Amino acid sequence: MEKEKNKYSIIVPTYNEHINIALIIYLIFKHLQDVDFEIIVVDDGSPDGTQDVVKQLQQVYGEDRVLLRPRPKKLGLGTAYIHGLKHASGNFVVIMDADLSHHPKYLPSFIKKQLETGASIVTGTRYVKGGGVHGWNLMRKLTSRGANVLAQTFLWPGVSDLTGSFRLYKKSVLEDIISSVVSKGYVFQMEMIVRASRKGYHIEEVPITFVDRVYGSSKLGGSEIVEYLKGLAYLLVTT
Amino acid sequence: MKHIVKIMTLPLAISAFWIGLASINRSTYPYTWLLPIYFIVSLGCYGLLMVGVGLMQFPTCPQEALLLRQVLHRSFCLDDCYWLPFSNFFSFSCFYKLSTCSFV
Ligand SMILES: Nc1nc2c(ncn2[C@@H]2O[C@H](COP(=O)(O)OP(=O)(O)OP(=O)(O)O)[C@@H](O)[C@H]2O)c(=O)[nH]1
Ligand SMILES: [Mg+2]
Repeated sequence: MEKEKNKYSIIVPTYNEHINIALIIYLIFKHLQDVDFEIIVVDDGSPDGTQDVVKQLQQVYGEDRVLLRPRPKKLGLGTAYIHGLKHASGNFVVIMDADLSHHPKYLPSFIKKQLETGASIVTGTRYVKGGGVHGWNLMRKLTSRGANVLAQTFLWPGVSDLTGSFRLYKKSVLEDIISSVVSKGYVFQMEMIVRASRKGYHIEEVPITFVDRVYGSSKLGGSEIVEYLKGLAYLLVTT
Repeated sequence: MKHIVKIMTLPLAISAFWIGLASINRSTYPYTWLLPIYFIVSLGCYGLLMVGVGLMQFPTCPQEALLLRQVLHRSFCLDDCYWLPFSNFFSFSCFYKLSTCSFV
């Protein structure tokens, strides 16, 4: 069977997720029963003991299934993906957040979509039928819609959700695009998908729901909006 | 071709058309100078309309949030105590005592 040959490396960056990381790893194992996969946790020296929890989970699930590839201090998300990618042994890579906004129950639909279409990238989208968001206030929705309309009007990216980060990549494709990405924060995800689309990679979408983290509030403020606009302008002139 | 070039061809074509019109006869087409303003205003209206429509049709999923909470609660909560998955295998210790377990 086709499925047998493929291996999926799931990269989960964490910073202070000592509860969520245990829950998400449990849920991944629950929802990916007959798939060959490994989970790569890239923890940036979380002071809350995230790494101790991961070590305990390694005892249960095996060090070959749950890999801990920590870094000494908080160095940002973009480089965390690159770090995780270096240690990935699968031919496919999944990137997801640890905060349970990305539910592992969608992993099979990513894999299924990729097998059906042969796509290079399968991206989770919140803005189609079957998708959705929970826990955003009006302001958050407004900025999200505004950002999306701007990007759709000026960048023509060919996907409906640019800033989501729940995605499956062919490993070679991720390696190819991630090296040319320079943006940070929300723009990082947008730049990844825009560059991939410009390079002509086959991108497919699957609906996902996004439940905002129960604890802690969103960091989207004035400075993020400015960063976003700068990123948009940058992508306009460089891609 | 850089994307900005592609995008710019549209306003460029429009302004070429406009300059053409304006240079014919000012008395025949007295309001040609309004064209670029119309263009910008309609672009703005389109943007506002799209944001408005998007906001009205914003897909939400309250049932998903509830489902997630139920799954977590069923799997990990016992007596207001948060059991992490591995505690089934080793010593049963209360990992975290927190309000999370009274959320359902
Ligand atoms: N390794 C690493 N992980 C990070 C860093 N910053 C955030 N993360 C993790 O990346 C994922 C997404 O980060 P979040 O803080 O949830 O970002 P967000 O979803 O944009 O914002 P929230 O509204 O707070 O959820 C989570 O799993 C974080 O633990 C970092 O600097 N290094
Ligand atoms: Mg989050």
